[in-house]
Amino acid sequence: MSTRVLDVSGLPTSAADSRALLWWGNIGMLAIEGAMFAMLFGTWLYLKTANLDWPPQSAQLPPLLWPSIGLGLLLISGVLMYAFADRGAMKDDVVAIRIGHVLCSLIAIAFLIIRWKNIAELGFKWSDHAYGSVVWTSIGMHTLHVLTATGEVLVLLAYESLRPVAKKQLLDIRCTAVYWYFVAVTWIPFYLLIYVAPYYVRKG
Amino acid sequence: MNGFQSAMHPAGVQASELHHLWNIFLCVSIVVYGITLAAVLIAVRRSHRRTEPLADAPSERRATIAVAIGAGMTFVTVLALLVASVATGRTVGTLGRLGTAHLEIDVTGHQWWWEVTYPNSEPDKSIRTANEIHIPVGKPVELRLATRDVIHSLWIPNLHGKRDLIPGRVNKFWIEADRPGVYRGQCAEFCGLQHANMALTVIAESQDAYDRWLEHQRTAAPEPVTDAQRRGRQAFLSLPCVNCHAITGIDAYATAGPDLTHIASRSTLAAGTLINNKGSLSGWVVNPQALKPGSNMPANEMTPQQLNDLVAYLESLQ
Amino acid sequence: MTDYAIDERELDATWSPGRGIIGWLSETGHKEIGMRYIVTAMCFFALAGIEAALIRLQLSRPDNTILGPDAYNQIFTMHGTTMMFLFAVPVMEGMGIYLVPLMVGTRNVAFPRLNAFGYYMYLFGGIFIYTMFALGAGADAGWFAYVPLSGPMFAPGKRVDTWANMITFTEVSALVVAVEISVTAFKQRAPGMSLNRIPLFVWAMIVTSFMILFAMPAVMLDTGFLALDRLVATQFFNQSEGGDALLYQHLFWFFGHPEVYIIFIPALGFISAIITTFTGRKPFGYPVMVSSLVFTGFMAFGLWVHHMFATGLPQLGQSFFTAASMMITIPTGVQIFCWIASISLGRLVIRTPVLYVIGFFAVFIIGGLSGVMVASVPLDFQLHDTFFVVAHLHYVLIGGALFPLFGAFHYWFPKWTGRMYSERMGQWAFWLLLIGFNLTFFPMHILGLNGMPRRIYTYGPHMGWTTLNQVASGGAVFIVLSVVCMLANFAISRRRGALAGSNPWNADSLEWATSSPPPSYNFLHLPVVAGPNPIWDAEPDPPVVVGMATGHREVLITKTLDAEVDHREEIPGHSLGPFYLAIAATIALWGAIFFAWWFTIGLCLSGIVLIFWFWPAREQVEVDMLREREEATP
Repeated sequence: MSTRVLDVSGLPTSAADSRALLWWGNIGMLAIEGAMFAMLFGTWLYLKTANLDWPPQSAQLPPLLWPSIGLGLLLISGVLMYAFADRGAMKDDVVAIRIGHVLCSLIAIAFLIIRWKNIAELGFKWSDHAYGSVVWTSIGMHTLHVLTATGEVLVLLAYESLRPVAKKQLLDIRCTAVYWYFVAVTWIPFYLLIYVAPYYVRKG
Repeated sequence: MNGFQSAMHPAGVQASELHHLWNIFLCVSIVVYGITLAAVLIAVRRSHRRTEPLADAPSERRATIAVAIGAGMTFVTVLALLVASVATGRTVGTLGRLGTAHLEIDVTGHQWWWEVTYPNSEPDKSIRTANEIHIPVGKPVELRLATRDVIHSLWIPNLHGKRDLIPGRVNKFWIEADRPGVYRGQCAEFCGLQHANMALTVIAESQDAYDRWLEHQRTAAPEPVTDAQRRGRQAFLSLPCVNCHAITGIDAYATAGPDLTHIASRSTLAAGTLINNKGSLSGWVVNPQALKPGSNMPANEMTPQQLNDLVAYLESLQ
Repeated sequence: MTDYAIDERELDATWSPGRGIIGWLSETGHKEIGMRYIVTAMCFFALAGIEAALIRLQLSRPDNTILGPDAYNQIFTMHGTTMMFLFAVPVMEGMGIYLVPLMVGTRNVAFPRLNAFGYYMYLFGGIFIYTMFALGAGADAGWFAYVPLSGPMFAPGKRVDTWANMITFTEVSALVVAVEISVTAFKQRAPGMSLNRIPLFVWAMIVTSFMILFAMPAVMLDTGFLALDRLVATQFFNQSEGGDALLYQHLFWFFGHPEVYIIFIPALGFISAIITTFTGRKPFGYPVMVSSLVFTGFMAFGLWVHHMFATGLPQLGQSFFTAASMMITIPTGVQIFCWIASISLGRLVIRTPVLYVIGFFAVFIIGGLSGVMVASVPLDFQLHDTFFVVAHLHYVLIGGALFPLFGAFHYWFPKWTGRMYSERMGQWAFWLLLIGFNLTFFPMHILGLNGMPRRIYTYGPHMGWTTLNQVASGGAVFIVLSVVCMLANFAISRRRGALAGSNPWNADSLEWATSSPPPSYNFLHLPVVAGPNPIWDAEPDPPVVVGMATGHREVLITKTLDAEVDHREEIPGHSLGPFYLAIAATIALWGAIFFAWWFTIGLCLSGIVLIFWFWPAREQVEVDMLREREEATP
């Protein structure tokens, strides 16, 4: 036993910010997901260079209105997530957190309905051509992420309504918010790729 | 080593360039390895005999200088090798392309054989053969590579390095033999069950010999002369053979398998699997699966009489 | 001083695993999980070794018929797949999981349950592919399974499906380990262990983890595309519908080349640790070593095209990749020079681990030089896909990773077991491996130059390859003997070896500052670090950390840069959640090869498991609230 010591008994036992382990773990996971999405994006670009006919003539140009509304909703939900849930967690304000989670899960459900409509309107299947494959896979992967994020928020919401919220749980709420931003922002490049780019890149 | 399939026995201008480059890399590597390993062993020996580790500033500084010199030498060596490599790459890439008189050959990969076509602007002068490429010595040849199924890689090490045959693409590369000879090539990209038995023969010969060969290949299959051969031709047309193989001059046009118009002129069977003689031809015709398991040619049921006739006919297709 | 005394028994009870089979399945301690990784990986190493022996047996004679083409193709595919995905990467991860928390002076990894989940994914992935192999559906398209050979047209049946989904298992495992190790190394270091004092092995694991984060997603996506093409008829690689066969190769090698460094960089860490300890001096050129590691990690992502030179890509691009591939020798070279400097300045004690390091120099440098050869586009035209490449990759991976790994096994054996291995048997195993390895693989260089392509199941007697193949097959016998000798040494010494004590080598890093084997909680008092070689740099009466909770699993979080204390955090204890989650994921991935909807079912099951996993128990919340109130009122 040493005669000199570093006493840490006075240190706090939780941190709901970038000092916490889970925060870093979450960022690590987002790095992985981000890399995956980036490579999916790259796949679209690569296949474009390998094809003279891209998107293929047989694929109709996508309608813009509803996908744009969907993206708008997703981004708005991101703002609401920050304004209520995330800031609520910073200030330990459970009411704000609940409001944020209710709003975001409602918007997410609306978004998923629009997403369903968008998919139904695509007009080609994943098995029709490589373009269909990459578009369906992108949409599918992103939808899976929206579903996961929505599920996470719903579970948190159930939890907040049933149990008292300890400081430790604030970290979960903040990490979920970060994940939510990621899911919302990731869609921007894919929206441009899937809905806007075809109008510009198709030859002839 | 007999050297008919070896990068160390170049017989073409491209392979010679690559062989020069190899010699440079090999010499540099031996020197680098010798110096580095000597340094390791000397360091180990000195260090092993010491009683205390050194930590004084002068010896640290000496070590720093040594490491810096080592790093600098590595950089210079790598740079030199890079320059040599890029220069050789350029030379090899332009060889052949400069000459105007050249020959074009299409090579198409199949599981597990090579289709070789000599195109001609007059369609009836173009020829189609398999697993054997004839080229004139001293003439640049452009090989245009495509595949009917999976990725293969054409490698004739005595003439050049390898190039892949990729679905949906045509890869081109040039070879030029600088001495006559028979060279063996083999598929280098794993392509399934019989990847090991997907070879071809390259025969580099004088322009005269080549022209004679080409002229002969352009002719239709010779008419049968004996009764056995005639019955054999009938057997060929009535047995499943005709479903996959073509023979110019008779009613056999299928392209799934090698063209047999001049099969008896070729030195091997089944893409280098067997020497082409009567015995192996009979064995192959009856039961290819025993000799090349997984090959796309099925076993064929026939009477011994039919077999004898069929082989007699095929043997006549010089 | 008694104020600071720790209730050792309580601490041990807090950190000890549960009992019985349930306890075993719910265990989350990093030493246990790390050791499971290592032992499991060695089992797969043995399987892959048997496959290698069969390959050598088949090639020992021309026109050999011991294995037919179908068996041979399955066996070499399983050999490569097992060695890369089920041995090399997991064993390095296992070493990291076991050693990193000890080396940085903490009690467990950052996400212990995730860690256990990663292990089960790895284990189930391995069981999956070997079960299918035993059932006659062994993967047979090579360890990189190029399309279209592996696609729906040319590979019917379940073989490639199995292979593609097995990749997902192991990559999920690798990814979670990467997250854990990097967070552990950044946030849980002992007070005082600033970035410039992190042991070189830990740096190596950090760089490896970052590479995993960005490389593994590529192969998951790639094999995902392959599985989709095969199972639900997408057209990613079908050129007649706008797909492209080379897309597969680009994505595969974007992962595949960094993969080599993911295996190799941890080995560089072993070498640094061994050299530091056995020369008895601080590593020469620490900052240079660290920057070389980081530089190598970055550059490894710029080399992938050198696996594709023969596909006929544009020449300018090829020159760039040649340059990058050759330039990566510089950071590796610099590290080798630094080690030589360390040795020449130090006082080297030659023990088995040191012999393996010297073996590394002798073998790996050959692999590095042949690597420069294959990096040259024109030379690669001749060397690519031949036995020369087989020789090269074994010189790199066995020389560069296996020699250091075996050295590391001997080096840390006393720490793991508390006993010394037999030096005599250790040295026998080393010499057998060195001789056997070179006999087996050196002739392959010549075979490749003499025209022998890789992956052929047979060759004719007229090819002139017989003698060298026989030498190679004979050499393999020595390798088998060496591995048997090493494992026997470990098996015997584990029980009968001399007692090791906490620091038998007089080593410098923190894992040697606790008993051997380390207690469940690693350190009674977390250490405070005063230099880059903590044990050697410690003052006579080194300070320690006090005030950590003993009744629950608490770790100390420090700041990323300078490792000043920040806060204490409770990390999760044992749980069956990881096991169940891995079962759910297995249902998804194993089921999907038979019926695509199983994937969805498995995902839903995973979701349910996750909700149960993360839903905090009522008592836990009450405890947390109570603790927070106590903190608020000092």
